[in-house]
Amino acid sequence: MIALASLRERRRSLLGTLVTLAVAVAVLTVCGLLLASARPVTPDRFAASPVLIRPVPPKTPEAFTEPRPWPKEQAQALAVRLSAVPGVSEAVLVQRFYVQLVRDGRPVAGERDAYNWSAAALGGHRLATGRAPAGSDEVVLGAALDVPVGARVDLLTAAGPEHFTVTGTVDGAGMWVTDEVAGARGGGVPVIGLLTAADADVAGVAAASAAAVGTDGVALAGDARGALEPVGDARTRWIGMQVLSALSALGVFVSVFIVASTFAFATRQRERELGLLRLLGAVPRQVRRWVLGEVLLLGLLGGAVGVPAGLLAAGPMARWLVRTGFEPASFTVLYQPVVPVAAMAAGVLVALVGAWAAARRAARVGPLAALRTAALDDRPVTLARMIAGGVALAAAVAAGVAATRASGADLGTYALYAAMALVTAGSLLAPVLLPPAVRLLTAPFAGGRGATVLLVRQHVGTAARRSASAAAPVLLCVAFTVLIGGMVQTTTAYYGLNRVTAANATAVVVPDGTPGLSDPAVTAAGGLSTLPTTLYDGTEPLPAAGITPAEHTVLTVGDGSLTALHRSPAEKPAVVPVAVAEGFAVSAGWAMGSTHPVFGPDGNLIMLEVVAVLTAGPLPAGILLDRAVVRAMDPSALTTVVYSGQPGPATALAGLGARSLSAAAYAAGGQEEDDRLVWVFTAVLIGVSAGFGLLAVVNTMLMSTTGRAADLRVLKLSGATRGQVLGVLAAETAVVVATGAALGLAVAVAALAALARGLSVQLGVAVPMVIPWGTLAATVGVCLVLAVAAAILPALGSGRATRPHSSV
Amino acid sequence: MTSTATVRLHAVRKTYGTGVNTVTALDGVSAEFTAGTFTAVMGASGSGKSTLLQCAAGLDTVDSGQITIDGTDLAGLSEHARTLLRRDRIGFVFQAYNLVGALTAAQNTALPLRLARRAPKPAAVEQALAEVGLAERAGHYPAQLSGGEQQRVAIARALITRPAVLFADEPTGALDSTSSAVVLAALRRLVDGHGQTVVMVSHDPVAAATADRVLVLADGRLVDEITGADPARIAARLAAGAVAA
Repeated sequence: MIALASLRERRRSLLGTLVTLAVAVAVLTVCGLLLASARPVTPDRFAASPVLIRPVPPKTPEAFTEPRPWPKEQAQALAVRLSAVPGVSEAVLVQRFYVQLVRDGRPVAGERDAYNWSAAALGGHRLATGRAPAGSDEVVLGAALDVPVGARVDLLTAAGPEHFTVTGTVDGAGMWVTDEVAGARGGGVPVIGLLTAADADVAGVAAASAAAVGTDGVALAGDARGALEPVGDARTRWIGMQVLSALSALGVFVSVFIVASTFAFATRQRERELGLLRLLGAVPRQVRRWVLGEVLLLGLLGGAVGVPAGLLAAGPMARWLVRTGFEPASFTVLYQPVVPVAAMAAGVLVALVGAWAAARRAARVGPLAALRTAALDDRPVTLARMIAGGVALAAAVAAGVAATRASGADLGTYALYAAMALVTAGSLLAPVLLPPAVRLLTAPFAGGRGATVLLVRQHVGTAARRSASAAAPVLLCVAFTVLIGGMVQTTTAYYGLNRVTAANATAVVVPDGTPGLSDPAVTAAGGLSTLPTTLYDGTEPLPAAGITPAEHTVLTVGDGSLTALHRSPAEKPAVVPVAVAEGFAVSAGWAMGSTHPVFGPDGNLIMLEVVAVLTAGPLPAGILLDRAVVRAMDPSALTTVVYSGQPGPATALAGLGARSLSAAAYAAGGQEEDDRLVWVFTAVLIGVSAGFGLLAVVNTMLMSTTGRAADLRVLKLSGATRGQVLGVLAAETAVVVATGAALGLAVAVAALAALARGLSVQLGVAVPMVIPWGTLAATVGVCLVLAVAAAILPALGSGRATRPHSSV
Repeated sequence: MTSTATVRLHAVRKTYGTGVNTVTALDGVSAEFTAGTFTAVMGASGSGKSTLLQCAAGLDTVDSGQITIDGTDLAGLSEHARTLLRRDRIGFVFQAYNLVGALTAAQNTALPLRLARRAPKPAAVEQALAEVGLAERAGHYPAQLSGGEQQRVAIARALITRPAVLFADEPTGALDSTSSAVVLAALRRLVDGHGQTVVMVSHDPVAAATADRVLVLADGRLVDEITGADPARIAARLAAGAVAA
């Protein structure tokens, strides 16, 4: 009863907390639904094949590389064994290679692979018009491409544009050539699809097939066939999951923070009431239970609002994710009932965790608190609070140190952890830091005769904890927006440096609407480039790249000679010469002159001999081979980028799916799909953290002014005009915002410094820390306007009330 | 030592602060408050009268001396035990009415019972409010009541547990004379009609005159005891004491 009545009484001051919890639960519902929905989908082209066999995938799925394919002979042998499995009517080898239809001189987006005609049956595709391909220049196109039978088309392959004649069309999407053409261009076999009789027992076939292939492959049936989705889709979804996870974590952290500061504030304001309850015989445990009871009700209420909101928002959010490219086009929301329940529970848990400290503090309020005439006296900062602040600070330092040693995505995560810990430490220690900071900040005005400065200095100085509570959300808001903005700009600066270092060039040719550059595009660009491919140590991928003697100029040899890389195969027919990066050589234990058996991109076993070890400079891959060797093993390999001395021929490049950029434009980033995704990611995170933070700022300020009604009345009775009272309030608020912003900036800069240090260590070049001043100014400005408005509004409303409070 | 004393103080000392800032609030005070009597404690500001009440009620600890309430020695009781003692045996009324704003008059009245996890009987709540003349106002919130009415709700709340002793700290301090008279009459009726023990701190001779006896404190010591006096005589005795001191 008491908890409920108290909630009703304080409904206005708790509205902010309720909204926060509702938003958090909604965010968790949306993210939870989307995370649970983000499952791989069986590609349409394999939909008619109930059981698919693929090679054993790598142990680390985050590498996003195709598993090592079977060499064609091994695949044929497997197909013979699989055909003998009862229920299997046919075992079809799948072969594919890079192809893009060129229309109006530009490569068409969408389909990027052609398949062998036999594999069309695995998707249930039947000819709609025309006939199957028979000649080496004949192709069947999906009806979606809208090309009539008999038309002559240009198909862009790794070897450049080639003329084909359309002999037929099928429903759906795809491109098919003869098995001979696909076999010659496709290299290894990535999949064997099984066709079965209509009444076959799928599970039985899957089990028997698995037994038939043994350790050479994996049988996939049902939803597990989604594992065969394109690697690009898997990668996109992985990025999407990172976004959703980060959003969830941020939502939970910020909600706990806001609930904690709101309830700490409320407890302080209700000390007399709590004292009264203690006076009337409430034991501390009862007080603690009320506070937790209140917050439990709030959490449930927030969930009741947040869950439906989240369910409604999930659909549009899913479409947005697809549109921005965070999820593949096949993505749809699966409404699983466990998600809303979990989100609801999480909301309640967040509320309870947030209010835990406040509840403990409330339970410590003594009965004499009811007899104090003023509720203004701030107790000194407790030892427990100092210790907790110290622990958070230590955690921040640990995360910062970890950031300097981490790499890649972990680096950003550690920086974010460091900021979370620093924000916590800052808020806990704010009562200690705030009074001196305020005194410093207002020192220039201290000599004036007006009352405003005196009042502001005295109030903020003496009511340190109250002011700290008000400054905390500003700290959070500024710290996160500046950190996230700065993190992206600092890492972009890093990648820019990385690129420029790699490209000691004035112009750069990059793919445009294609996954990579074909050989004619590389030739037209006329510069330095590599031909990336993948070798396999067992099932594990080893990134490798092909180079020509031209690229030797940017490489530094530590041991051996690069010329041996391009020696004639006749010299030593059994081994392939390679140059390895020093780092790779050390970690893999590959010494100069040693030989190592690996699998090529076509699945054939080859023997590598280390003929050179490279020292300085960023390398495209750990293993370098002769470019022609790579091309022979991997007919569909594409070049990622060409660095050249002068801009490439624009028209010729456009037809080849490429374009030329200045080195500066390339280094600045933003040209590539990943960069764009990262920027959208950043905008979303900044938006969500700033939104939560501003909510907290407004909430705390409203509470603060409402709680100071008595104070303001005294001020008015002492002869202050309405304008002066509002002036004092506005000035106080501005000082609190400024101090919170300064602390928040300090937090962000500390985390960014750790990040920049980590990147510098990795690159061996000083990476400058970038502080996003624009974001900072915008955040502080919005905080200031909202905070002052929120502080003044209640005072305007209660301006005429002069009757003293008649109740606690 | 008489067994009829509901509250007994023996040689109670209480100081605040340390070193040169030490203030002696109570300097060896001994007093007894007999069941069914109405005692007023008077004194100038800083004489220690509020401290006396807070110590006697177990809200504050004493440095030395002994306090017994309804036969229970406060020394050696844990905070938990003192809370339970307060809840069950002591009622409080203060200058600030100290009602919970979120609760109605009836809910405020029933609050101590709920805190004790005893189901409040509507009839008992109604009766407690009737005793202070507020039966019709049961459903009102504090903000809808006048100062005098709020103070009478506070008295009804103090009575709901049938406490051994009711402590009142300046109960009429914030009221006009008409409301004060109603509140004082309500307290008087409790003593006469129900044998309630009441200890009231006040600086108002008119309020003190409602009591059976008046204890006068100065600098933490008991300096005078007046019985059956009218306001004018009490004021005169206080003034004389002040001159003598």
